[in-house]
Amino acid sequence: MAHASSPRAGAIRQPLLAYNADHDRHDGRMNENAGHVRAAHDELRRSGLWARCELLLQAPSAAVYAETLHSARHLAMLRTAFLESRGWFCAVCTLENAADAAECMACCTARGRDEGCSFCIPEGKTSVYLCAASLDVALTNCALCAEAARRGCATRTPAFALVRPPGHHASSESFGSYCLLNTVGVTARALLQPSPSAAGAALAQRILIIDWDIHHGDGTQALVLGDGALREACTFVSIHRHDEGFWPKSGGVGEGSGGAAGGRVVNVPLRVRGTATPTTTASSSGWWSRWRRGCSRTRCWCRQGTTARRATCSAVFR
Amino acid sequence: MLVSAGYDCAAGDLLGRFQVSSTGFCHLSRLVLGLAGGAALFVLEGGYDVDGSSGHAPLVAGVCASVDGMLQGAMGIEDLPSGWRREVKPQTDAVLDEVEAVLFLMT
Repeated sequence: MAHASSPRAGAIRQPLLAYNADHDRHDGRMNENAGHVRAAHDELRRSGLWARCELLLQAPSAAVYAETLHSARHLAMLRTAFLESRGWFCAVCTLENAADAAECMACCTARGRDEGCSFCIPEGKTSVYLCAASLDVALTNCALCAEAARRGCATRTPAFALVRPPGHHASSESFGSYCLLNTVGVTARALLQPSPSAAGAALAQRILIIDWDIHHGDGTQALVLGDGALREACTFVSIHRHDEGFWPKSGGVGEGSGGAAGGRVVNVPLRVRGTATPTTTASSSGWWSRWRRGCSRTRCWCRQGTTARRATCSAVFR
Repeated sequence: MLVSAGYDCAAGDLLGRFQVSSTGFCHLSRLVLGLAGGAALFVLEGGYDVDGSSGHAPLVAGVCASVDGMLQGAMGIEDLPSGWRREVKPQTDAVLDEVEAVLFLMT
């Protein structure tokens, strides 16, 4: 194998698979439900990959993790909405069992959400339905991910968390789309807390968050720019589809630039061939462009170092 | 490193219309491991069966490829098979700037 000769290639510890055994309770009428996790789980088992990984199926004290990141108001709102619902409900306007899109839209409007379910109605769907247990599952997911990351940091063990609902559209004060809690944000917070296992120090000093979901990670971006602890320690890179009208429409180049004050955000928006460039793209260039313009090309490249990889990639992309 | 690993960018996903192959996901996760020295957590995000016909196939293939990559171990950009560069075509200088920023932050 060509890879074997590389100094970077090497034996990594047996990966950890974090899996919420309770995930079947997370169900919905729309596209967001436990079926995705179930299908991936079945194929991992069938292919034998499952047996080659260490498993993490349970994590302690689920609720405390979410409280480190999300505001009490947000969690209370979610708890009220979920506990009071008897079946499926719209996570946008909290209407239960809407008959059709019009009814849901009317509900959203009545609650002061003028746009209604703007992201689901144009696609011909009635609403974002989650069920009462989805919140429980999301809380457990946060704890599972925090535990997996803690082990990963302490022993340099890679981990994959097979969990749903997703989280990257949720910020500390609000949920977005199907995302109730920002799982990655909660995990980052857990890594930055003083840890008994590290003699009172945090398990990580710096965290790089990469988001390769097709949608812009607007919730995570808001956290990295707004949350004190995350702003200090995190860099967020989102690579996503960004063409006219594609939800959530944010994530243009230069958006949320705040490099000097910490809280680094790098957006890499890509367009699908044949679609229009968004008209709403932020016009100002990012902190990187501004910083780079401030120094000469030569100096800039000197400062960045001259590793082979950098030079190669620079030439490639030019 | 934390990765928001959504698989709606996978080849065959009708919503995303991107074309990330299973090999691509395998390489991505191995690159992440190389960068993080093993200390990386991948968290599943999106990936939907939009019209109910794909049977989660793009997501399932992507997840399996990522886990397979983790089992294969870390690698660096220099380990990528030759020819990958031809496939990478940033669309504007602005995007190029951001890519440079990523590379800068990573090194």
